[in-house]
Amino acid sequence: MVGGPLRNGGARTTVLMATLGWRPRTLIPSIQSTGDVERVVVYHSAHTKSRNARSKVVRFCATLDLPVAPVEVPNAFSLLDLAKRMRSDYQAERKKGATSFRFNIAGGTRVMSSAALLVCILEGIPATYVHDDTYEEFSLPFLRINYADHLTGRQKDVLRFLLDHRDTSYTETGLASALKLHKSTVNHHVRELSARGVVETVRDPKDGRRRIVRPVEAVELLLG
Amino acid sequence: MAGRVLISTFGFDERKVLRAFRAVPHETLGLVLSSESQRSPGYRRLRDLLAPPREFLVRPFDFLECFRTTCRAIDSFGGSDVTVNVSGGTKIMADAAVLASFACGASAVHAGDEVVRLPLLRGVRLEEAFSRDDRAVLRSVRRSVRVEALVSSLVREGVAESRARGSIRRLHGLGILDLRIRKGKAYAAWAPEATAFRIALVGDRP
Repeated sequence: MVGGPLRNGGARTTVLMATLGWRPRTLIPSIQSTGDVERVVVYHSAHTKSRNARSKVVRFCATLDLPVAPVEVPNAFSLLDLAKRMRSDYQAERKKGATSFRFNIAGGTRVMSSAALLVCILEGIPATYVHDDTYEEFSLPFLRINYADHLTGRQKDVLRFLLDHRDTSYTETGLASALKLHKSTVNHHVRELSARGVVETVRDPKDGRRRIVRPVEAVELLLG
Repeated sequence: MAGRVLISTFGFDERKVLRAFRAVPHETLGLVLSSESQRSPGYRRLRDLLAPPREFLVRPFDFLECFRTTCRAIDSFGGSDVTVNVSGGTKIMADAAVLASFACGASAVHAGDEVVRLPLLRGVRLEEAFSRDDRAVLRSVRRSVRVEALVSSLVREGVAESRARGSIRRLHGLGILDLRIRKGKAYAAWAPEATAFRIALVGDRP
């Protein structure tokens, strides 16, 4: 759920995740202000200045005896790849037993920051911003919206099928046949999913007469 | 009705707005931008090409203000199919626009070298994350209010006392409400960190 503060006085083990650009100062306030940080996971690019910033953060954390896991991302401008990687790391941390999280989204490229924010929205992770000039921290608590709950079982079936068979182009007729549903049923669900923004119907590039149904690229993130 | 609406954050590069055009067919264009952007060559080139868009001015380094204004921009086209392109402007404007899209149930795209649709379910607003009782609590909290008075008010609205108290505790646990004791009495107020939620859920009232 949400990695917010406990009220029972119990021990906290907060994993602080962060996007890092060229300036460690966008991250340090969060380390200072977050109690009981267990470890820090830092995403940075391969740019020399970003690597330099990472080194400074690693040295700072070593001074505090705080474990830090730097993650150099191969492409700091690919929103979906970044979001998938961050979300996967978050879920891995949860499997390891971490229960409290905070994500500093102030550093890095605009795309890294937006990817991190997206993960915070989808997973309900509290996010933190640090002002560029004043270094004042600003927190955004998040509540997880389980988007899958807003789709019917049948809609999820259609979506899952399309995701599992991405390499094949399906018209509505083909989809109906594959799912053993009436074409009008498939048509209804495709319209609903299209209205929700999770599938689109486009002309088949190989045969302009056909219209194929495909999931929006990022929809796997939405289903978790 | 405005037809289909594209709202784009804009800094100085008109190409970030134009890249969204093919992916997001629309009848109406809105821009979220700063006064400085309005003086840029990119803005003049955009205005040379297009009919005057609706413009929503922001302070580009003020997150809450960007968020508030983008929410207002989305809601101003109430009932229309709105998509927000978050690739222009400052990082803060972009992130505020992502959050506003999520809060207001609008679609969002990032029009970079590729146009990426963000996985936010159109029509699902932030309030869906809260139960009906939670929403009743949040609507009833203006400034700091005695918890007992808040509970009484909710009971009069038809919320069972135990559910009202449960919602207050839950919202406090989530960091949305602050609970403080003054002169032996408990008071509830919106937590400062939850200002963005307050803006999205009940408007920007004091």
